Amino acid sequence: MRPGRSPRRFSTRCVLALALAFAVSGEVAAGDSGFHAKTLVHASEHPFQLPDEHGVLRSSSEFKGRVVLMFFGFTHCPDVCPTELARLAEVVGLLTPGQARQVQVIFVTLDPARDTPELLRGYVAAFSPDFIALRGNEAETAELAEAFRVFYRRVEGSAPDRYTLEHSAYIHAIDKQGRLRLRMPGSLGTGEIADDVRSLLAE
Amino acid sequence: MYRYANAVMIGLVLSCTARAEVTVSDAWVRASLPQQRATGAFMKIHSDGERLRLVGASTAVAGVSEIHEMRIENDIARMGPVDGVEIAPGATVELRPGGYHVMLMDLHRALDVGTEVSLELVFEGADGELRRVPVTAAVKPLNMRVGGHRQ
Repeated sequence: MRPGRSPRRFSTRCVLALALAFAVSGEVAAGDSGFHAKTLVHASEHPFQLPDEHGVLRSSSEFKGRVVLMFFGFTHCPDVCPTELARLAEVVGLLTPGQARQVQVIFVTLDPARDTPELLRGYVAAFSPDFIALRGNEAETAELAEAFRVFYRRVEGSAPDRYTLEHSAYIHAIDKQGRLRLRMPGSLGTGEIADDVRSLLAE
Repeated sequence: MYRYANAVMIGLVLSCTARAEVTVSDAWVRASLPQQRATGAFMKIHSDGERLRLVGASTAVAGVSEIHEMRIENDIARMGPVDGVEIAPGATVELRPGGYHVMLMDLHRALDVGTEVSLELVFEGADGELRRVPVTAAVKPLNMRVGGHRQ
């Protein structure tokens, strides 16, 4: 604090800065909401219509009435993507069979160039026969990622096809009304994610 | 005299062995599907003797092997090659999901669960000399999950 600036004025600035940060991010901190995950204040629908791993067009409206857990990644990712999908399989396993039937896990590829439908079929099946993958073209992928505020960036490797992707590592939870509600970071345990899913199912 | 010479020889062999003592354990590779061109290898590396630096790797199953690091920054998974991984004397460094891995790219074939992959790790010693250590890694399921803070 510079001399001459009163503590009161400083705290006012702090409050204003916090309010601004809140307004920009649109999120409240964990624990304020009854959910373990960060809650999106402005729960909103982000409709999509993309082909799945069988080439069948899937629309966001068909998942209404269920809770959708969505993860954006790519199959050439050796680390965080398989870990998160394995965690999601574990989350579903923590639910009762009745609850599990009301949950749909969706893997959205950020790398449609390399993630062919055939590859995606084998990939999601390795985690659960109930998981589905969505694969848009480059423009559709970018559009959906932007709607979900998923950051991704291609990082070039030592040859053109050796690129990797940096990407947001959140699991997104969509409620039974089709509204994006929660962003779950990798630090959230599977038990906590299952708790949040149960809360969304109970709404 | 011969007995003395033998003792010296044994001593020399022991000291050479001790100098280069690096133990790699629990090595595994994540299984890959036919069209998947990349996967990761994970393991524990222990150095008994000196400070070592893991600087490279190679395997016949992949065109390119690089030492990569994955880290989460502001909930964004960032990944890329690193120059090397330090292994301090007496320390064990784990290459594990959520940290370092040997990135295997341009895979020549699918890696099936239950098979093994032969790798060679390249370490640089404090003297600047390179040491090559053969490692056999078990291929584990694609959905293999390692315990830890992300449980």
